[in-house]
This record gives sequence, structure tokens and C-alpha cells, in this order.
Amino acid sequence: MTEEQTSENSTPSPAEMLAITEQQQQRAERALDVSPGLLFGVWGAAWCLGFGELYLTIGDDPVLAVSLWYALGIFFGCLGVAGVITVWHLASSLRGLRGPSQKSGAMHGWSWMLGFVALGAMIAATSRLGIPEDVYAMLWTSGSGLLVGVLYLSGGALTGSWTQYGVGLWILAINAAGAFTGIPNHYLVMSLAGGGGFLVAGTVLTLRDRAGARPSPSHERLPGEPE
Amino acid sequence: MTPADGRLDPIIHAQARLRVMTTLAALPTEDRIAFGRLRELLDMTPGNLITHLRKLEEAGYTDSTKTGPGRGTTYVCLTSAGRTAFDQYMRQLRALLEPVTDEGDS
Repeated sequence: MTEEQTSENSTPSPAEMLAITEQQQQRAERALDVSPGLLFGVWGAAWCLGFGELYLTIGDDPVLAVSLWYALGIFFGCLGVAGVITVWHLASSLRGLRGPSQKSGAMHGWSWMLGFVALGAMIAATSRLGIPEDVYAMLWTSGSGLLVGVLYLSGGALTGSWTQYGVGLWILAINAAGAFTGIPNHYLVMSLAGGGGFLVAGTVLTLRDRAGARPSPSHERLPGEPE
Repeated sequence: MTPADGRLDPIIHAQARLRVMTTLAALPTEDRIAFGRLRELLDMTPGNLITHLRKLEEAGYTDSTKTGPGRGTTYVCLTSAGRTAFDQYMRQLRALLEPVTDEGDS
């Protein structure tokens, strides 16, 4: 990239100026915008692999015989990788920015964190009453699905994003229906329908982004991240 | 500061300042960007960027605030007058090119 030390006296033609501004706008948006397509893709892959692996390793007659801790380790490993990529992506695009949209994004991000901490506390309290292992597993799986669905609904509502809102509705629906299939079948529902749903949303957003790579004054911005 | 007679705003109509304005306009309204990050996005030298920002700030198009103790960090944003001026500049620029690029939209 050659930097032209253009003095303020030099004024290119209107067509050149338009090209300059469009090029710079693209560059700024690519660097500054959080990519919902990327985040949906990452979390879709994590759910597909993580829940898929739980389905294959947990239950009365598992396809793969591994210890529970090993199975849970892989599951949280998948989520952990997605979490690290999310944090890295958000940190690099939002670096050096502050203001109202940063603040609401941070508040939304924290609501994910707080929601899961509260869910964990609630399940820990419930397990003190003495519940079987598969009830425990069901509480975690369907409780997380409920939380994720509701957070997408509110995120979509606040940003006016039908994609996010639709993902929320989808997750709520498949989670409610899938819970009736019990453990470990609900894992398969979460893997294929849940993770698959994220992947579809990610693909749609990425394709739409490519198709609409022309400059537009208003672009959809996601506050916070899926987790 | 915005010429209404169809003349392009001379404050914005310079390559470097147009790029600064474009970058700041890509941020959501009222959001600010750190001087260092802005410079990275523009590939400008600090001195060069400071000069152009001063000119834009004198016109009331941008606003800089310093935060933190000591040298602190300078955060820059587009003022609402700046956003209006930029939008108008872009409209005028497109209008000038209309006969050439009139292919359905704009």
C-alpha cells in the first residue's frame, strides 16, 4: 500500500474522491465491525461438535465408551475454543473504541455471563435436593438453551435484527421440543438443530454481507456476543 | 460552513480529510475512536493526522477529548454538524457523477 502524501491543495476528480471514500469506508468497516456471520459460524461448529460428542459418549449404550469427565472435558473444550475466538474477535474489532454503542454492547455481553452464572447457581441449589444424573444433565442442557434463546430474542429486539430474533425463536423451539426426547437424545437435537441453526444463520449473514458489500449508511451492528 | 450553492465543502474536499471523515462516519453516532487506532486505519503519520484533525475541529466537524492522567489517550468523534456535512458532501459528490454512474440506484 503506497501512502500518498497528498497535500490539502491537491484535489482529485469527483470520481476519484468517490473511489477514495468507498475504499476507505470498506477498510474501516472491515476492521471495526463485529462479524455476526463469523460468530454464528464459530458457535455453530462448537455446538455441533460439543453436543454431538456428548450424544455419542453419554447414555446407557454409548457409541463411544469414554469416561464422563473425558466427555465433559471435550465438550467444554469446544465451547472454550469458541469463547476464545469470540473474545479475540471482539477485542480486535472494538479496540480503541468507546461510546454509547460500546457501552450497550458491553452490557449485553455481561448479561450472557451473568445469566450463565445465575443458571449454574440455580442448578447447584437444585442438585442439593438430590437429583439423578440425567435430571442434572437435562437442567444444564435445556436451561442453557432457554437462556441462549431468550438472550437472542432480546438482542434481536434491541437491534431490530430479524436474524437474531429468528435464531432466538428457533433455539427456544428446538430446545423445548428436544427436552421431551430426554438425555442423551436432547444432545443430538442441540447438536444438529441448535448448532446447525447457528451455522445456517452464519452462512446467511455471510452471504448477505458479500452480496451487500456496497457502502450503505446503516449497517447492522450486534451488541455483545453469542456464548 | 456548508456551502449550499452546490460547491463541494473545501474542508472535506481534500483526500486526507475525506478519508478521516469517512472513517469517523463509519462509527455509530456519538462513538469515539482512539487517536492511535484511527491512525492505523488511515496509515497516516501522527503529525499529518493531527494537522488534518485540527482543521476539521476548527470547522466544528470533529471533537477530541483526552482521557486519563498524564498524556492520556485522545478519543476523536464526528460531531453532528460533521456528520451532516459529510452526508451532504457525499450527496453532492454522487450528484456530480450522476450522469456517469446513473445505473439504477443512488
